[in-house]
Amino acid sequence: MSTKTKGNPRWRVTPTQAAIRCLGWIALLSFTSSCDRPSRVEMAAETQTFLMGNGAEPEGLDPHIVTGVPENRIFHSILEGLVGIDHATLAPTSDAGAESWTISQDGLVYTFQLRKNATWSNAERDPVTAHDYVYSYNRVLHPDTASKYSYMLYPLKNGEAFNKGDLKDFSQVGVKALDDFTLEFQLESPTPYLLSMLNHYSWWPVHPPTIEKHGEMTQRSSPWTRPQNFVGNGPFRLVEWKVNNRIVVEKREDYWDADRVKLNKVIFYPIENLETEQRAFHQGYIHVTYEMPAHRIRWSLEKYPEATEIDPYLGVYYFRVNLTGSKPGADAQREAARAALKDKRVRKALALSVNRKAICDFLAAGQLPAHGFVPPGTFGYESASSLEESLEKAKSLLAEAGYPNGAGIPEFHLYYNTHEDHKLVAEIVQQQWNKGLGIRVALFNQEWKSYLNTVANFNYDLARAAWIGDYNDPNTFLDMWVTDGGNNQTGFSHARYDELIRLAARASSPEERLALFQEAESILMDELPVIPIYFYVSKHMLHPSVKARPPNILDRHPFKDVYLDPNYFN
Amino acid sequence: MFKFVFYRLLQAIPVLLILSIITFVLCRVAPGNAFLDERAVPPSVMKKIEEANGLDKPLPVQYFVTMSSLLAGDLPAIKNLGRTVNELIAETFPYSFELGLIALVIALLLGIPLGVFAAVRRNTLADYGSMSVAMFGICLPTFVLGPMLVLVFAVGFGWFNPLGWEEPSDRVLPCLTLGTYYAAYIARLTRGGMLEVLNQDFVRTARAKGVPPVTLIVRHTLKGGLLPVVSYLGPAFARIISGSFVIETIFFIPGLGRFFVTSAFNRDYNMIMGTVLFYATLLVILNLVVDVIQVLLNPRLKFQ
Repeated sequence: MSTKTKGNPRWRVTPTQAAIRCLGWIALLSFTSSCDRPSRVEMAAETQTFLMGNGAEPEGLDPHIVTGVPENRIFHSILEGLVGIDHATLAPTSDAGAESWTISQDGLVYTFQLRKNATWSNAERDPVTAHDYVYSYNRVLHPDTASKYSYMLYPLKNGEAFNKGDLKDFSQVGVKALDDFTLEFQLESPTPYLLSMLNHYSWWPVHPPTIEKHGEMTQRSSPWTRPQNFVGNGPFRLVEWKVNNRIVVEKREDYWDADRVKLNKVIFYPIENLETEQRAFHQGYIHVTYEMPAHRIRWSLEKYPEATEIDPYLGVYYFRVNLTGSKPGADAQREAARAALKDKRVRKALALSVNRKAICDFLAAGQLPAHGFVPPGTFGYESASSLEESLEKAKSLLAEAGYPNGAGIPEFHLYYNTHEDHKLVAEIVQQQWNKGLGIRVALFNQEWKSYLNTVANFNYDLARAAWIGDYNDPNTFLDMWVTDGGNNQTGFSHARYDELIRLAARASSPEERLALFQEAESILMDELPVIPIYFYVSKHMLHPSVKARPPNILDRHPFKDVYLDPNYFN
Repeated sequence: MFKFVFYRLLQAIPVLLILSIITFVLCRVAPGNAFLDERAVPPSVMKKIEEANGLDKPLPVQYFVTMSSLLAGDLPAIKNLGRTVNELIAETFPYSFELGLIALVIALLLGIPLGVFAAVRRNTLADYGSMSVAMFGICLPTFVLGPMLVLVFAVGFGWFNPLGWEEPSDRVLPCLTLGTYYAAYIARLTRGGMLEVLNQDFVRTARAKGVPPVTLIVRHTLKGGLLPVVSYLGPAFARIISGSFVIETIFFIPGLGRFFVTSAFNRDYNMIMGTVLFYATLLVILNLVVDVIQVLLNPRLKFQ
């Protein structure tokens, strides 16, 4: 061993350290030299071109066929529904297709006065008529269209019967054009959230002649959505669509409210990779990101607080619990695990022993611990029930169920789809249950479609899930748990619960409705076919030069008032 | 030679046929399907959707319909509504082709000289040095090298855009990233091939007769030394021009490479079939081209 020291210890560095320092110096030096070229974002302020990161490549641009969020963002530019929303509060506004409406005393008849100066974007500038809406709703509800969002139109009288093929005559469905510009809805039952629902694109109209020109009404895929064919009624027109590259929409000067529209152009970039998107944002390539990787949030909040937008979001992250028991031919382990999960006390022990705050702290984006199922901020609703986390109670429940300290429970199988965050949450919960209750959990990571298949076929004990509200009302979170509901997928069935959801649909006053929903949610939190973990937040980077784009709980952003402030750069 | 080419093309037909059947079967046994979504839909709706896409028919019929419409060019993509598989490939392939071609040129320009240099200076520090660089290039994954280049040259110096494929300068970083990987491989292959040739008697004779070193390398040995590179180039060229998922994702290039991965995740059966057969056809053709070139370069081989 040599005792000689080589030079000043301050200067001794390992090759790795040296390399990092070199890179650092290069980066630092060049920062000073790179500031002369204006970024795209800076130039965009001059031309009012809004550059958006938009997640995945849209599956299509037919509002009655697709179901994705990226598509939703694009629809807000090229299409328009009956009712607008206030950008911040989401309250219904009369600055869209209908200039006014009346609601009958019993809440069953809605009459919309359509705007006479609203036009389609075709060369002839056809007016948007009540007949176009009727045609569109026929299209959504028609069984042959097989629209995945057809259930959104079930509030219409006979809508469900027509969609399921029990009723063949569309004229029996509760939507009528009284004249060219008067549209009437007859509802199945009073639906207090109808106006909020109307802001969902499944309710937005399409241009009938365009649909017919390129195919049949019920055709699921036709070239009508191509830029050269597309006809819409929104403030922008579709001008370019390059796959995996960009979608460009330009302001329509003939749009009825064109004076209010300040942007000239919006470009949607389908940047699917979150890291690439972050780089795009920080290099001034886009104004707003579609999402944010979890590990960036702390850093971003610290470094770019004015550009990091984190807001409550109408969504809940939870675990499904399989209540259907084991399948014939299952091994003894699965049989025992499923049998344990059929015991309410075991489910409760699992739910009460999750330390949600620890999970939220770990995710660090302001997610709220979920002790109920309906997110806070849901319009006109407040949870009356709350899971009281308590390890002691959980332990005694488990013992009561005959599994003291987890003895006798074989490993539970918890499934989640491939995602860094899902893995983290699953691992934390796995540890908490193991330490707290002595219950062992095996984690199974599956890619998306396999995971969906696993859940749909009840091949899981516990499975990660999430639900994002379709509209701002507790119904979107609670009606899915009725017996045999398509999205239930837990086997949960509770007669009183089903009745409460039915009653809530017919409730005469908001107070009565609230009470019914509250009771339903407390049943859900007592029976626990689901273990809620946290309520979502929406996470974006938003360039500070973007103005009049306030956050809201549905993370929906109309383009009407948005503008880019050129003064920001001076 | 034409007979040779003809027979080789004839042989390709059963290969592609078997490949398409395997692909078709694998798609159908994979769990889930193209229409499965986070939001469950009623069975009646799912049935209609499957009907609309011909999934209700017996499997042999489905296979036949898929293949015949693929050949006719009107096989619809499932996850890109309103577009056909052929259209999508035609729209995105040019990007991947350009990216791959430039990258390959970079790879050859870097790799061959490096390999020759190493072979000539065999077992010296220069040899070890350049082969270490090559090894580094092979081992360093593109998803590390790509962001590193971006960090230095786009974020740091601000010479290039960090992503996109719009300005001519946008080609530099992705092509360099992709090219480096192949360059490293080519360098090692060149070195190996050159060493073999340099050990042969005719080289010693030429040297003894006083042929200058540069002439010796360029005129007498390079042709033989590059044979391994040429046979590698066939499949490599097919792979490099059909797109790279990683590069296209990192640099946000709208190429074909992304479809190889996304269509499998999305269970877009039609697009999977399209990309697999497209790639296979490229591979078959380029291998054939390489075989022809090999015979032209190597007088010991004959068309058989």
